[in-house]
Amino acid sequence: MKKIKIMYALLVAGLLILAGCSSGDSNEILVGEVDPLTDSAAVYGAPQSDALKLAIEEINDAGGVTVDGEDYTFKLIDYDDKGDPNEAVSATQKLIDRDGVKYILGWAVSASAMAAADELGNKDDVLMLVGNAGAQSIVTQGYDNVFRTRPPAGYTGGPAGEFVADQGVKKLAVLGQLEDAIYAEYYEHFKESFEANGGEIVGEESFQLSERDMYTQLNKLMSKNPDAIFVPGSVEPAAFTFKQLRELSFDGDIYGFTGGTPEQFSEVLDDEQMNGIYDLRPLETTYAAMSDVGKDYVENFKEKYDVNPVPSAVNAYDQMYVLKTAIENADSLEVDDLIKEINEMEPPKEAALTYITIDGKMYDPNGQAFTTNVAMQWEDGDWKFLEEMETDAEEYSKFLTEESKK
Amino acid sequence: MNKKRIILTLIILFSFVIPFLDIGSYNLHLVSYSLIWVILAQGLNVIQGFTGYVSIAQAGFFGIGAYSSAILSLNLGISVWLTIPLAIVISGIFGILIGYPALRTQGHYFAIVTMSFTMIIWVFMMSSVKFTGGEEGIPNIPSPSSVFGIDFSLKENYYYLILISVLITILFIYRLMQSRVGRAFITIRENEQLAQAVGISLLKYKMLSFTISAMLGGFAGALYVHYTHFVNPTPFTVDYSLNAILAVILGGSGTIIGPIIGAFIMIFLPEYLRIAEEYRLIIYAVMLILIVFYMPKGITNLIKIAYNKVLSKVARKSETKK
Amino acid sequence: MDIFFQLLLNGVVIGSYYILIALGLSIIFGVLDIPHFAHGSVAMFSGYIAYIVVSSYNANIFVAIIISIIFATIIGVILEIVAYRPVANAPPINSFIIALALMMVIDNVATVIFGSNQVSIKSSSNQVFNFGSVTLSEQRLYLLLTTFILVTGLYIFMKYSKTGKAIRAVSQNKEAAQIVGINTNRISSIVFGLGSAMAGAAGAFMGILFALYPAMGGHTVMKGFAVLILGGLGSFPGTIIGGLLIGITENFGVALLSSSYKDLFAFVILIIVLVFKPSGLFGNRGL
Repeated sequence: MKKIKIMYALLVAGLLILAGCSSGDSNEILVGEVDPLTDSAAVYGAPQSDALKLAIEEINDAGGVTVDGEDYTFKLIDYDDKGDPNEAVSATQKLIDRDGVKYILGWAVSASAMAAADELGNKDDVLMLVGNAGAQSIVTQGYDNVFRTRPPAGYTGGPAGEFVADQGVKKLAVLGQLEDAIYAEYYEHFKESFEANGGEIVGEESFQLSERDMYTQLNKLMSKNPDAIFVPGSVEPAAFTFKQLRELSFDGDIYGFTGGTPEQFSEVLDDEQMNGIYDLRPLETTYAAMSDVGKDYVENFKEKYDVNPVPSAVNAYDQMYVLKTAIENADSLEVDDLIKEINEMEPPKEAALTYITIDGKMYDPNGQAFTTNVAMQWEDGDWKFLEEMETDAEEYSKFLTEESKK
Repeated sequence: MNKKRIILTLIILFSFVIPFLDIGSYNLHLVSYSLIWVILAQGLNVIQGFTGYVSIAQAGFFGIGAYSSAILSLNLGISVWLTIPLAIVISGIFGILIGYPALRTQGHYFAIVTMSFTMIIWVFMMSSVKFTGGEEGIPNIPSPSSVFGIDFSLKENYYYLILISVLITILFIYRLMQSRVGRAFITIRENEQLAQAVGISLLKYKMLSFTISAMLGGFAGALYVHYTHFVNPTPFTVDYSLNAILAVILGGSGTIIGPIIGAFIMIFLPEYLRIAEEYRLIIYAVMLILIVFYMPKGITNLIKIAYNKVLSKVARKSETKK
Repeated sequence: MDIFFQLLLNGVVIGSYYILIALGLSIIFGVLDIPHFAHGSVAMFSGYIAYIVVSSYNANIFVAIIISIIFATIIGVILEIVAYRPVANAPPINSFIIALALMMVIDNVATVIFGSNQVSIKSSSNQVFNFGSVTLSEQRLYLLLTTFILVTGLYIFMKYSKTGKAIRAVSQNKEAAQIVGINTNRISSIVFGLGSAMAGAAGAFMGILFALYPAMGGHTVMKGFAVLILGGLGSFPGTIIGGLLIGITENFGVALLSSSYKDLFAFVILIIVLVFKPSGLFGNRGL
């Protein structure tokens, strides 16, 4: 009996102790973040979160912002959505309702971002700045308060298809995470442009995020004798695809859309096995092609976290500077004022990426920003910048506007 | 007896008042979600607590009910008031289909077979992109159409719908367990061979028990999607089934209050353990192990023991006074 | 159809992995009637330990396998003594819950210690052997060899050694075994040790061929149970055939249908077999 009493008391005590709560300082601006910090999507979510924290630290160290004569620093409240849209919506509700947050950043997973956008799109007093999540529909639903830094996957797919055709590839096999919206969208545009430039897709296979054994799919594809193979997918299954292609002695070229860091790939493959593999992606942090501000960002990230940033993490970094600059320019913390400002503003000078402006503005009428697209190739332990892939941002922006009318 | 009735009535009245208390929309959301879980857990309790067969399929039925109601109302335009009962029926049909092979096994085997079914259902939900929307799921699921001018897209109003569903469910379980059918379930749990010897058709009653669990699971699922307006496969995994099992056990297996307490604990506890987010599940699991070692009959039993001790203390005091 | 043999070989390789997991689980579940849900987590954890040793000291692949096996054996025995033995005589649902809770604890401790990123045990054994149109990598060859050695070793042990006979006695009737003087507690620990050793080997190979990540434990153990029940509890040949069957079916299934349904095959086959033969393919021990 005594055991039970003690247990009970411990239970209750434990619960009380752990049920803490925090209150915000009055000169702090609360910034919310929803990102996958654990589980399989954390490969993109955790670095993005780190980049966001870096930006906030830099801003606060430089004195924060001044609004209406008052000085403020930023404080981050982050929630882990585990790559699950239900958690993301729940976290969004918590941020808005319990924590009183008006600006929510982060968003590495498309499904989470879409579910949350449906929840708070066009809602009063909430601003959503999206990072890595690449699905097209995030910006085509007509939500005034949703903006995204990273271009939709389809924007890169088209130029990539043309690039591969230009390399002389006639017969292409494809193995990718094709059931995932972002890769499916990329591939749709890729296929169209590749075929329009004279290429032929000889086989299409898919893998899931958690799959590691691609032998069967690769065997099937290789029996069709392709010149090259294209692998659009998340870095983890893609790395194994690359490894197994080498094991199966595939002698064609390997093109990818994966966005992984040297550390992530070297977990799985040798440098020698990686040599020559291409990555066709939006200009993120693929260092050789970047501006000085961009290079500084990478250095600072490495210094603070001891690893290279995942290429797409920079989107969250820039988002934070967008927020800060908008607040400064509008001299207001009100969401309505900020939305007006963001719609008009140029890219912030502290932004790490170089943006293609539409009508001189950072964001197009859909709330989408654009960078250029680049082809990278692995050499000696890292991605080397090869060339820019021809892209027409304005054209794509018009395409998005058409899509949003449907 | 009377005391119990009074307490019960007070609790029910209180639950009707909750939306008017200023607890914030997030906390109201947690309460609503807990109530949906009460239905899920009560369903599981029928096959697990009362009949003694631990099923890992409850999340699967939750999902079947959810997707059924979502697809029927969104794609076929059928009124939500109709799709929810339809979802219950569909879940019941799956209960029969799955129960038939599964109930030929017992104990741990049965658990693993039901687990396999949940996996199959889950993989199907993830892969049939055209039908279920795959991993991204189905958005924009409608709310029930208004009745008597009540707008059910408002969370406060939907709360009442959930609450009434919970009360109906609990009443149903109460009556079920008082009936011959309920007693047959318990007999099967206590001693299957004896049950057979006294003429209880094992297969018939086990199937009935499992099907009822499935239907209640589906009911919870249907209520869930018209509340969140969104469905994707994530809540329908083996993990969630395990959470449901824990809810029933923590609260008190084979009792009526048990699943209620268990459901609320499962939903609210993670909120309070948020401070130690990384360690939360470890603390959780360790607590569970300690509970199994020291409090195997669950919290309801603990409360019963505490209640009885208080009563006996009071009785002793009045005796010494004499 | 010249990829037929490659697919078949792939299936046998993956099937070997399943055999390692399922056989270990089979001993524990078969002899002690404990649904050891944490079995896959043990495989994962010992795999991680092997990874750490290999990457810190640049050890080779064989060291990794052995370390993983040893570590898993130790963890297994500890789990038996600390977590399962206290509820050995309690209603079965208690060991069920303990098993689930252990899985949660080990998986999450692993997440805290190792992070949620995947890791691979890198090795310099990167040779590839070609037999006509069929390719077999060095690492996969080692998996086949290890499985063969461990399975044969276990079989001989169970059939001919004194302890093996004692184990079989306990699995038939625990009380009778106690009456004839067998120390059932010791046997329980040995059973957990043996079963977990197999898990250790599996974990090492998962890390060598593919990758380890904290959440893999649950997934692994579910497939393990499917193989186990499919083959028939307590049947050596059943588990082996079951493992190979599922490995091969998964590979051909992916080739013929689609990879999205890959995980389904094991469970669908399980259900089909159970409908016709509730005790599994080779099972004769009832349910």
